Amino acid sequence: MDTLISAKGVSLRFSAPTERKGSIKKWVLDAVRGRVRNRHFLALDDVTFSIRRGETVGLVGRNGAGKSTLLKLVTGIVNPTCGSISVHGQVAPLLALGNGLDQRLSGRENIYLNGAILGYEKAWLRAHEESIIDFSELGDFIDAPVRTYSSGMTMRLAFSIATAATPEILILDEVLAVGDAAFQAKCRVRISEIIEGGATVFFVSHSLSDIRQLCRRAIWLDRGRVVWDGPSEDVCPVFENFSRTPFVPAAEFLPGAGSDGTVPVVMFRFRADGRDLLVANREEMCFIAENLPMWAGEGVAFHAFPEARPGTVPLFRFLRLSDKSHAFAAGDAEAAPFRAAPGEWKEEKTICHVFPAAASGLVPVHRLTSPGVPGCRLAVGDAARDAILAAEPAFAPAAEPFFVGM
Amino acid sequence: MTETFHDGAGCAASRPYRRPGFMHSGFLVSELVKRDFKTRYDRSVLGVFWCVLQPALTMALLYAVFSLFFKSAIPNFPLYLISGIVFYQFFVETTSTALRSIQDNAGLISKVNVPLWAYPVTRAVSSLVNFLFALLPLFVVVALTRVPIRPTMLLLSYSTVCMLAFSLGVGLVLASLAVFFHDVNFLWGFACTLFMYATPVFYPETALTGGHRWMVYFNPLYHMIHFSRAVLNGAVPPAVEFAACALFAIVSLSVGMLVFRALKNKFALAL
Repeated sequence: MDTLISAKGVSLRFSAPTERKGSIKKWVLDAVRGRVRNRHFLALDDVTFSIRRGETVGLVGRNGAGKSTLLKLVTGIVNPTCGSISVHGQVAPLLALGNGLDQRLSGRENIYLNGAILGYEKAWLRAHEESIIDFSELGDFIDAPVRTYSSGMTMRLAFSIATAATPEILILDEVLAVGDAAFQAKCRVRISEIIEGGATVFFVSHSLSDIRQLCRRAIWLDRGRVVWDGPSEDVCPVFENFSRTPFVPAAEFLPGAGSDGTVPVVMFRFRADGRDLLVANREEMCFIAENLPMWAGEGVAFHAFPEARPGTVPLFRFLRLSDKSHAFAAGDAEAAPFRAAPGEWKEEKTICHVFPAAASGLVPVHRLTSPGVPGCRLAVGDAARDAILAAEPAFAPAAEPFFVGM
Repeated sequence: MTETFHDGAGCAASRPYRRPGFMHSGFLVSELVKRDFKTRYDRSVLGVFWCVLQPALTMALLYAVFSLFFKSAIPNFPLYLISGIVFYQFFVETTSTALRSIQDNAGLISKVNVPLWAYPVTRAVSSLVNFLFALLPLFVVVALTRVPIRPTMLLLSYSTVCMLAFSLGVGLVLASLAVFFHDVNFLWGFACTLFMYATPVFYPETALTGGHRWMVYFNPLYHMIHFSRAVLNGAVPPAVEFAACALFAIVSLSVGMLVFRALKNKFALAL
């Protein structure tokens, strides 16, 4: 039982808030009119990962990427729409720091109430009551109602209760922002102790320095999908770079992008060793992203092509991340499987194009059209000359946007 | 409430976490009930006395009003009235607090994986404790009206258990539905008023005759209140009355559990 958490192809579908049936009347009316609409939103989309005993895994992603939803699945609060998730071991959620506290009860009463909610045994709580109070540094205030506490005191109490026991699986959702600097330091020590005690930790934070410090591995989620699951030293800086890039509609970000789905692409460059491909903004000639094993958003892309031959850019598959952003991935499928690609990658039709200009290491790639839009195609050309060098109507591969997981 | 099986600190420390399952959630429910009690009368001067005062005052008020009409028709009208009120209130409190139990704990439910049944069950247990307090003024009336105390009065516990099971069943259905349709909150207030008038709580049972008798036969509250009144008057109800109470209790609780179990996995997303 080495694997404690294992998620296989997990998806979670929400009903969009706009169509929530808040009243019987609305529901009946809609049913009668035959309009029980099923517009859904995928909070998690085919997420697969597994976490072994003793691992400390950070979860990063923008707001709304699905991080908290994933934690809810791990704690068993919600069940996946499809796929399966199995968790072996006692899960102690820190999702709810302060949520189980009752403002009207005293701190001491709350230790028992919140402890019961978190699943502690009564006898165990009784034995550890004093150490919880000591850790919270509340002193005599412990018998005052929690409503009289400052917010820092409340969080200190909640943290002390929640981390009093060492669980097999600890889930931390933005909990290190507790109290003043001194208490935060104490919290980090406590978390480190729990980690060193052999607990498996799943950690969500917007503080990338915390993630890098506490976690060896990081999973980056975006729009419900796993972007990158790898060592946190690799994932964090790229994510940081990515998250600093403001969302810019393709039309603004890429001058010349048309409403028909065409995206004049930016510049590719082989590095001299032939192993890396960078994507840059054509206008500014600056590299937007590096070390990203896949395309992941507006203007951010990178691929490593171990077998790419100079001057050759094998194009693989078009990736449309949203209606406003387009990107594509490239690699050499025939020579070697794509590093970041799943099995089905190989089934894609691939086309190779030779670009004369690539000899210098610069590959001007030019116009991409979305195959998701009927009648569009993928073409590669020379932006400077505004000439299409090669067009491939047969390219239009996947109707669905794909995303690469590890 | 269950007591823990470990008490030595060393033993307990080795296993801080509750084992999963129904039997090990006693501490959770007892803490939630304690919370209900400590907070219900928070910042009120009379505090827990309200448990006793509330039914007493309601009875006094209804007695003042209805003794004008029904006093002569019902022997020992005060006892008739307060037994009806106490049991009716028990039903209303259990169902309407259980109704809100899931919504009220939305913050917790969407964050902590706590056995969901604990919330409505907690409300039912709290109502039961309130009911037991309310028996105090009831027995004051028993004493004042010089009704002899008989051992058969222990049968009151039978109708209490049936009422608890019946109300919890209804409460489970209501709590499940209220998550998805907030209308249930308002509809149930209306339904409670309907029950109040459809059940002989303050008017004599003889008022419902002929074509209205069905209202009585199919009214679970009637059977349980009728049973309790008979017991208080020193009688042992016939077997059919025992069966009627048990039937309503079992059917209601089974339906409630089925509905709750079918819908509970959707609560966290719907809240």
